[in-house]
Amino acid sequence: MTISALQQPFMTEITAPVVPLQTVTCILQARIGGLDRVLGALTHRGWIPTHFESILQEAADTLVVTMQFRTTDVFSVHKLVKFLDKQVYVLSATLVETMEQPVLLADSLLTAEKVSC
Amino acid sequence: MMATLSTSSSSAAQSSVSSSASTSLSAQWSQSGLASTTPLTGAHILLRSLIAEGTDSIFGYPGGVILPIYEALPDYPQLKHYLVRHEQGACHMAEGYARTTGKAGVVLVTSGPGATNIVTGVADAYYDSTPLVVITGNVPTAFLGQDAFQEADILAITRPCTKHNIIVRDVNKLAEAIKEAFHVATTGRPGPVVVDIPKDIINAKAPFDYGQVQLDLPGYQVTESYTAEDIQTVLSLLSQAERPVILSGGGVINSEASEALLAFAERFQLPVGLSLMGLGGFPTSHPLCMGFTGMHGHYWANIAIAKADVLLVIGNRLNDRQTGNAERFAKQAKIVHIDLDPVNINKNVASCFPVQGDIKGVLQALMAASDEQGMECHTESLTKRAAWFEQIAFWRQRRTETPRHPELLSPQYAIERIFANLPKTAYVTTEVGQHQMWSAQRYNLDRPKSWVTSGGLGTMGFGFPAAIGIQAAFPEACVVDIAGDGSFQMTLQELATAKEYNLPVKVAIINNSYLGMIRQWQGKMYGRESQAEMFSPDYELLAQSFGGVGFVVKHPDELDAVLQKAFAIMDRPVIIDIRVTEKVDVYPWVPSGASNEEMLTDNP
Repeated sequence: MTISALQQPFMTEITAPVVPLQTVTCILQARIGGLDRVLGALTHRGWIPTHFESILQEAADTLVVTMQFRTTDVFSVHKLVKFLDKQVYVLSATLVETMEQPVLLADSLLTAEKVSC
Repeated sequence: MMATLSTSSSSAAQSSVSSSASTSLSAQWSQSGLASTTPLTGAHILLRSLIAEGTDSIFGYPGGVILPIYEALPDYPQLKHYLVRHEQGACHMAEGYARTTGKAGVVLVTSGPGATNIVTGVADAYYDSTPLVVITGNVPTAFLGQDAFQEADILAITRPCTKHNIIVRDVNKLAEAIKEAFHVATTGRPGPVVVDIPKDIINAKAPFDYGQVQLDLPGYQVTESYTAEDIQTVLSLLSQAERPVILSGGGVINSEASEALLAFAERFQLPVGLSLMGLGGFPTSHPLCMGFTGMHGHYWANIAIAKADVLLVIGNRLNDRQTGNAERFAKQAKIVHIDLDPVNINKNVASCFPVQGDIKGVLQALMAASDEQGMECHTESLTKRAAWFEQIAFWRQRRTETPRHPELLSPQYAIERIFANLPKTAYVTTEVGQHQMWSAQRYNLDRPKSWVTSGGLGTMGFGFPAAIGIQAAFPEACVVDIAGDGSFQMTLQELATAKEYNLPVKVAIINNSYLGMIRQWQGKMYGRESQAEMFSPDYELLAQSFGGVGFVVKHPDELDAVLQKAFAIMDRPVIIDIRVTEKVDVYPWVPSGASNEEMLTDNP
């Protein structure tokens, strides 16, 4: 058994491109219809976030929405953020891109394909 | 690795009324006699709020849940109500009114089908940046979600095609909702706002003083993000440009920036191409004007954009009908994109230099900066670009259409004669299709807001009700809808509305017995026609049956006399049925997926 043969099964995982995690955070006024515009924006783009949460902050009269996408198509996510930010009840929309642990190539491609349409 | 992007808005906040302004408004309002310490019903609150916002016209149709509003309406004679024949027509009328007056158009419809019938009009207003406030009734709040009679979730239905929408669940918040709607509809990039009011809110009572109503919209800000350095960059690009072009869109008209654009183009000697929505934003008779651009735009204008080394896109979102294949759009140019809406910039065409702000303000800033630098350079610019202007003049000479046969009444000739016979103070609307493109090519009115068409959504049936709305705003004006026979049959029932209010709208039907654009595309792209030929009623008799006047034109020699006679009628609606040659195609034509340079200029 050669070294290269031993290493081969691991190479795919080690050299797989790291797909960045895009985290979009929206702070909304807690008004009826505000959340609908966020969800509608995702539906219209055919996107399903890997993570989505909404927290009502009654004292601040705000709704904090966090959603995550694993994609390299940052341009499209930027456009989403710009679109969300101009919605009337959205106080702010921000995007943070992080590089997390490597993911399996197959998984990353699957996710990227979904998100980039 | 971490990168952050924040688009949180920072400047020009308009979301709150200052306390001093509020006090002044409150005082004025109290003196108007419309404030009331005695609680009023939601119906009265709504109507008084509309008056407070300066509304003088409502386009609407009554129905069950909004009967209390209609019951209250006669108490407010300052509100002129136009009873339409279909709610879609109400929206288009309000669009015509809004796009020519600059005020928000107001629509009032009932729940269920009344509300769902507005969707086309609301979407049309959304894509063409038209300020509308659309009031829909709904079933009582206790019935919402129970599939009640004439219940519709109109908030969800209109969410993707409104700038904003609101459901009012507390009568104490009704006046605030109306103020919010007008504010959002008319500021920034304009758009439609739907306010949904359940019947129990319409009937409930609350005290009312509009002057005291405060907006609570901290997230709604009209942003501007350009800097003095950006302005210098644009000036630097212009000073170096040898083949500059301006592409001017509807944003110039919305921003009331036409005069600023004229001054800017003249100072820097910049040829100006106009989008479909931008017609009227720059005078077509001006030597710098290249006219209509895009899929069916003039050959010379499209080629000039394709060959430009600096392209200033002003108030245009660069959609597919404008750019052709976006990846090959203006590839030789450094593109500067000036637009109020940050979402438009780098959306369809990437790598533009962004100047995000109010167009009029940006143009004024460019002029002021050039003043400071002493760039009063008419002669210098003209000399530098002489070769460029000669080149554009050469392209302009290229033949783009088959010469006219003297015995045949071609649609192009008919439209030419319509424009030739129009008073310069006229308003022109169109429907959607071949006639729209021929009209855009031949548009010759030099005023902003004189051209009203459905550009973004492309709504057949838009032009006639829009013309009614314009005529309602300007009763003395000559308002002409240039229509196709297919489009006119979509909303012709509004003839009754025009007759009922003696609105002398003229409909010039370019009647070729076909859905002409469908036939053209089918023939060229699919090889055979399908469901494109279309029966029409006798329009002369139709006009008469609605109390209007009808004319039929079959020969080119008859045309001028009929048009002059028709345009002089000012007490009834008029239909001019112009029987044109049936199978004529629109050229130039950029086929889908092709670049603008690959336009077809005539029948191969």
